Amino acid sequence: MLGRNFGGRNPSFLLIAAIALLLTPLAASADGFAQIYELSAWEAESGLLTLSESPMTQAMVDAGDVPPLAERIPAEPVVIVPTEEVGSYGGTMNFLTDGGSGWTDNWFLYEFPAVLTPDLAQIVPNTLAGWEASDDASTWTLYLREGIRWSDGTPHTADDWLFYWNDMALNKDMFASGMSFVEGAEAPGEMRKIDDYTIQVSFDAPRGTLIEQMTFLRPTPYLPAHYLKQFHPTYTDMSEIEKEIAARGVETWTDVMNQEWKQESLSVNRPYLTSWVPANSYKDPIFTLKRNPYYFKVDSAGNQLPYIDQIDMESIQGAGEAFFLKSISGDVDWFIAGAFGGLDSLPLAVQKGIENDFRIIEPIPNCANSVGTTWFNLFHPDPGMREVLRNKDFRLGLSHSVNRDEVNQLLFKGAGTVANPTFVFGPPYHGERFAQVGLEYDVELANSLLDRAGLDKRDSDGFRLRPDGERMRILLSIPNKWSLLASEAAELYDGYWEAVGVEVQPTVVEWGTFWSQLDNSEHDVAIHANCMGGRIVNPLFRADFGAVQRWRFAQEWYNWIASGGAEGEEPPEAFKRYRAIRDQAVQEPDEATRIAAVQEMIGILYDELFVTFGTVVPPNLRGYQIATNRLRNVPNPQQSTGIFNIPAQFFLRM
Amino acid sequence: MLPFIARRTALMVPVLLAVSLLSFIIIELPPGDYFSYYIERLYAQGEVIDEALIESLRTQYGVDGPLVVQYLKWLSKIVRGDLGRSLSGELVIVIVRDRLPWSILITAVSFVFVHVVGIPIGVLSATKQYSIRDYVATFIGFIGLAVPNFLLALVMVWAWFAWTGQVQIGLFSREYAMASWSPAKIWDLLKHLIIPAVVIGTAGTAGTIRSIRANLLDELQKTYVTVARAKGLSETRVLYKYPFRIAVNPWASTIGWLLPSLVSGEVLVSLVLGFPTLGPILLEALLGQDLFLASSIIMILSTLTVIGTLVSDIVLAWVDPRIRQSV
Repeated sequence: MLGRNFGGRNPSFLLIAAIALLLTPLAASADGFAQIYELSAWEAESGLLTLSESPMTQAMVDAGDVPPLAERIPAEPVVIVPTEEVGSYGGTMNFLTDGGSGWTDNWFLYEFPAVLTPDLAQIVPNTLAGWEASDDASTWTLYLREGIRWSDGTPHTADDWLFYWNDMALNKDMFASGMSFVEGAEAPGEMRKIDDYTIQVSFDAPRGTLIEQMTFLRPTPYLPAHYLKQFHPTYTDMSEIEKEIAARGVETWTDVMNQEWKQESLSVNRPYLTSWVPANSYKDPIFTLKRNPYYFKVDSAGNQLPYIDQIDMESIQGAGEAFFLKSISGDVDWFIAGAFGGLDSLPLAVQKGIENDFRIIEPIPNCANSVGTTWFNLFHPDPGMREVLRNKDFRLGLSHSVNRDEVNQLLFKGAGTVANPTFVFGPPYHGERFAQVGLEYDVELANSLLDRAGLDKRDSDGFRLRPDGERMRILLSIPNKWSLLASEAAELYDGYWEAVGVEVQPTVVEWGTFWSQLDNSEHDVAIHANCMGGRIVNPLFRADFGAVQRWRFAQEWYNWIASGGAEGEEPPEAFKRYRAIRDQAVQEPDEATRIAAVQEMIGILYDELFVTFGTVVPPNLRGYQIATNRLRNVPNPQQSTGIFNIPAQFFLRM
Repeated sequence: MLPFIARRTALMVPVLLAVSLLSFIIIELPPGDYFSYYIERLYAQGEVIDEALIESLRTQYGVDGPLVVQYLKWLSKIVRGDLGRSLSGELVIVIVRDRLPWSILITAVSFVFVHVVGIPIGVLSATKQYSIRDYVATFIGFIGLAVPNFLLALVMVWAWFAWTGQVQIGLFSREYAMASWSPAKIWDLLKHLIIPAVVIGTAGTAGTIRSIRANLLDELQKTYVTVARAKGLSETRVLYKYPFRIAVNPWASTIGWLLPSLVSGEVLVSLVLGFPTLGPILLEALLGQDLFLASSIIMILSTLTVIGTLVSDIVLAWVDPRIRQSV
């Protein structure tokens, strides 16, 4: 909608030209990501490193505020080989925030025990130096990276893990209902300290993906024990804590703890392990992150990271337009402009980029949304309706009635990809074949499938009749926000489905009500593209694909499995297999076997169950980002979730 | 007049009680609660939330009990002047303290704009009925009434961007946002207040022009005006001695509504322009079913409305001797 008309030129021509222009150079540099090394491995490759630090921390050392660099970082720091080149120190990077805390940690902060490399190809140690699993993967030995210090200078040790495990996760005042991560099959896992930098965790069942879960688990499974103990009744006298409770105007010690323990609370006093730390409240008009002098990573030349001294995040509380305009006005160094402007705003952004000295960055989504992803209600309260919706031929028939090439032309000028939603697009998890099931536009086939589904009679208006004689009429629910072009998709489905004799009535439903309808099986057919990125790459751990906690394609089947048969409805054999494969895969230590399991699940989902279909996956540029030309080492294309790109290795060319 | 004020003040208590109960129930009506909303938002980002953790939070915040218990707990706090905490953990009093002054400022600025512009134009177009000036004023009035505020705000932000290359969002430019107060900062603030004053003011101005014009026209046709003219009084004295005073009566009776409009009037405009006022927070709290935050803000607003009504009655009694005598 934005930027459609300017300069009196044909906007769709401009859009196509902009997409073509931007896509051409990208193909050549698709593997340009920063790399992560262990110091010894890097030194074996490039010779010994000499450590050096920023002028800012050097000044702090000179003033006696912090100890010299060698005493602040591990003997074996993590080495980051930058995306383009070794950078220079200093400067303030400008960013925007919506006044909440969510963006900060998805974009700049978070140090997980292990991380995915920026190309998402493998998991490497981060705050941990390594790990070992017993043969059945039920006992894990974790080796901490020796010499990491919190941002206040205190060493990070095994006690920080034990505090998380024993004093927080297993504390009944904090978590009356427990915490899933520490739970085994029957009882919670046990954590044991072997020495200051070694811990052992044992579960009563295999946990092959323990490390993988720690690449996205929030809050992190280690906490600044030395700081948090002052708010914990096990370590501090309640009369002391009472003072803190009164000072903060809260009621219990857990209230105080809740303001401090999670990194995402961005408390100013709490120590961090991250490259930058909060300097003021994230609710201030400008939220500032300042360099952490104790950060445990260096670049390929031995310079301590981060390069950039400070990040200023201006708080914008306005509508999407405000974010979009700010991001193309040259006021910010890096931003997700496309998320607020959409694909149509691209030509304007390209033009403004020339004036305001920024470039367009293509994001790589870590899941493949498909416009108009369908959610059929297989448990419809009306038996006549239920019979039809449950028929796979009916769902396939509707799918074949959709002209996806036309959808692609209408919505994305042909730049999208015709495919079903597969949650992760591209290797290693996505199977090309599976995403293509039921996508051909074939009205004849569609009609014969619908006939076969028992809808072979029509009324005087030409609409099909259900086997019980009622007109086949679908109420198509669309959530009122946070959904990929759902209204456009509904309008298109309306046309295609009525052409094969199924009456459609699209209705917009308020977000909360929408989900409660889906959970309670009160809808007919809903439309929602359900995946918007985030830190979780492996579909096994994504809420809907992995059938973790719920599975809204068929919620009652999930309930049956979750309750051991006490609630919900017994699922078909294929779904039982789907779930069993998933549960098996989560325990499985071997990655190749896990990837094969995901492929098998996608196969079951489309070949056997076909409970959902989509139309077109938007071009990645729809969510384009901008980066000012002074900001370097930003990979292009880059991961859509900011922290995967390691912002600590970004630098500002002055 | 004192008994009048006392009686009205006593009446405020049951009114506010009813409002608090109603608002609490209405906020709870939609399915789900704050935490289910929170979970859905994270699901949208592909996150898996530990539902055990959410259950613990529900217990901690006391939103798992029956509605009556939650209401009584909340009410007993409110009565003691404790506005409680929002479900995201912030003290409501802090939110209100940080944001209410900006709401007041924006309303005050547009209030001044409305009256400085609206009253003279209204008087002018009434005294020169069916002249070119009257037609122009009437035309602007209709446009101002008809164009939705948020649309006008959007258009102005885009136009400003097209002309100056700057984005007039928020109350301060980046360089002044965290600076301490200085003449330069105040100047920067004033620049940022132009768009909201015009946007919020336009609709208000239109209304004022229409009502002043209509009331004044009614009065100017009355015989006492003709008599005054016949006696040779100057046109200005004729106008301001009686007809004008009577014409502002309906306006005076609505002045109390300004207090609640502090929040409601600027919601959409503040949303578009990104102002740190109460309106957007209330909207967010309602959408997110942040029960305690929304109820507390609504409670503050209702109190302001009730006080506002009282104030406008007093003002009315003060400007209009007829009402004063009837009390």
